Amino acid sequence: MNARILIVEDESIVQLDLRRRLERMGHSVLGMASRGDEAIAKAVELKPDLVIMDVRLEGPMDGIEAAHRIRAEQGTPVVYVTAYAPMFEEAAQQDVFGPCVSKPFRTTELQLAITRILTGSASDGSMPNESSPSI
Amino acid sequence: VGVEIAPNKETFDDGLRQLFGLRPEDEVRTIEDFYSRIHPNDREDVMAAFERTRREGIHLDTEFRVLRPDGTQRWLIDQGEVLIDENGKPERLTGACVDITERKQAQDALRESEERFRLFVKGVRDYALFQMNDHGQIVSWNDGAERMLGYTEDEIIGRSASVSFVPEDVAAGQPEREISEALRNGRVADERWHLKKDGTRFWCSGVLTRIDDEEGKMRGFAKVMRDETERRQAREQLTSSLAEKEALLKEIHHRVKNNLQVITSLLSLQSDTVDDEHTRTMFDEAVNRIRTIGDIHELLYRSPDLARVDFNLYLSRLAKSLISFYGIDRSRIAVRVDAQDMKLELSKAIPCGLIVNELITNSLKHGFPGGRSGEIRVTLKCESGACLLEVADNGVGLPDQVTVEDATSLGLKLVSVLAEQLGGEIRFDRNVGTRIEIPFPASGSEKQVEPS
Repeated sequence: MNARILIVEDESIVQLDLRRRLERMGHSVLGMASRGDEAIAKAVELKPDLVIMDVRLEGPMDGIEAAHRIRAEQGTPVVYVTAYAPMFEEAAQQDVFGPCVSKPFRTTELQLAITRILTGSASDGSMPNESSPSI
Repeated sequence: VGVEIAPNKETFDDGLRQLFGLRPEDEVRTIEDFYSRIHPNDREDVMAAFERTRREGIHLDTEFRVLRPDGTQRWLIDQGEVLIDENGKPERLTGACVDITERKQAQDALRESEERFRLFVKGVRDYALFQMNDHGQIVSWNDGAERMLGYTEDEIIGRSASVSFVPEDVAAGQPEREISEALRNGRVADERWHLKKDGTRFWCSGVLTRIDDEEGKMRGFAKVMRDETERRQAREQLTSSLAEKEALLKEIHHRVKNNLQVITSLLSLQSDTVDDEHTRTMFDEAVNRIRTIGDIHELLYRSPDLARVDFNLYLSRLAKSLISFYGIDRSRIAVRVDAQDMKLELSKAIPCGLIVNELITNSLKHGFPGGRSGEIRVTLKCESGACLLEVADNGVGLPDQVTVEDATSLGLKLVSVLAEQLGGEIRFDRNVGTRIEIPFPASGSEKQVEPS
């Protein structure tokens, strides 16, 4: 399954790495953003199938809020990629959606999370981890 | 015992002589003789009482000390009547004396003890101590209460203790609730805001105790209050500085993981330019080692004390991660982890984690060639100052020429230097498969995981 993806990540090296890995998986990367407001604008403009979202971003808006708005606006699914798991867990308790991949991440983990959310098997919002079946 | 005193005719019976401690040679003939044996401080009172009784015919009731010839003193009570002659005139006075020295001493001791206790309670300044009657009205008030609440004893006696409650507590019926709970349970303790006379609020811990007399009858209540405002402020400061420290630690773990991601991304980008499979494997292994460290930071900031990793959880994650990375079917090679209740601090967790990463990787890559199935067991135990880390498989075993001391692979070299870093050693057992034991000294903090 190939998806059209928007990457939201404030670390340029990680942005580049994500882009390469996603493209290697067969997805196409429509664009990249490093701020929340920029992410929302690009999501509206590019209409991606999926957003890969860091939680900590440049600027006042964090990734959780940006994801919230994007989903409210156009229902785009989001996979979080973050080193900041506690913040994510707290927000997750407040009914935040979508799977989360913890940094430093493996390509297999990222791919698993993407497949899950695009096929709807993660609609319960549960987070994939190493206990998930490998693919 | 008795004395009869008539004009110019006083008689002492034997009993009275005994009370006065008189020897046979001591003569008491006149009333003056009698008075002379009374303590000088009491003498005038006794003379006045006798005179009043004689003149007015009223009942005699007087207490006095006698000075005995041997120098000792005794307290006596003398009660008597005036006898009237046929002309209606006082004829003589008859009375009876009883030695009340012991009773007097007991009364004095009691009074002294009560006085001492009263002064003690009164003088306590750090606690407000006061009593209430069974209607909740204040009946006693110490200096501490005056200092804490601002009311003088005169102002507060007779008023309800609810004046010290803040209006919202009064409206909520807290004063009555406190009394009824003390009535029911004997005592009630709580912490709440209270009100001074000038309207300022202070945080106070208090205990209200029901007072019963010896027959078990309720006599009222005693309240002890302590101003805890400063302590509360100090506690709040401590809590907030702990929260700051916790936030800072979490931030550090986050940044470490973020930086590890940047390093991983750099390696991943670099490996994209490599076509040679062997070289790519080297990159993959380097990334796995970085992840091993990243996972420890992740579990650290998820741990309650931010300092020790739940190592059983960590090893399970590591094993599953490697199995998944190497695409191993779990029904073919099972990894069993046992580090129950082990918590490791960062300085031990990272070397242990890296060692296990290398050894599981080795087993997965070389232990089960040609689709062989089997099992890898990882255990960590710490008992009485010594830890034992063990990684064993039932695979084909390492070739005989491979030794830890003389390792040519980076993986085994890392195991060797990391074991040394732990202050431990490496034991090899090649009897069945491969089994590597690393005993190392415990740091004492490998405490059990708190039950959640």
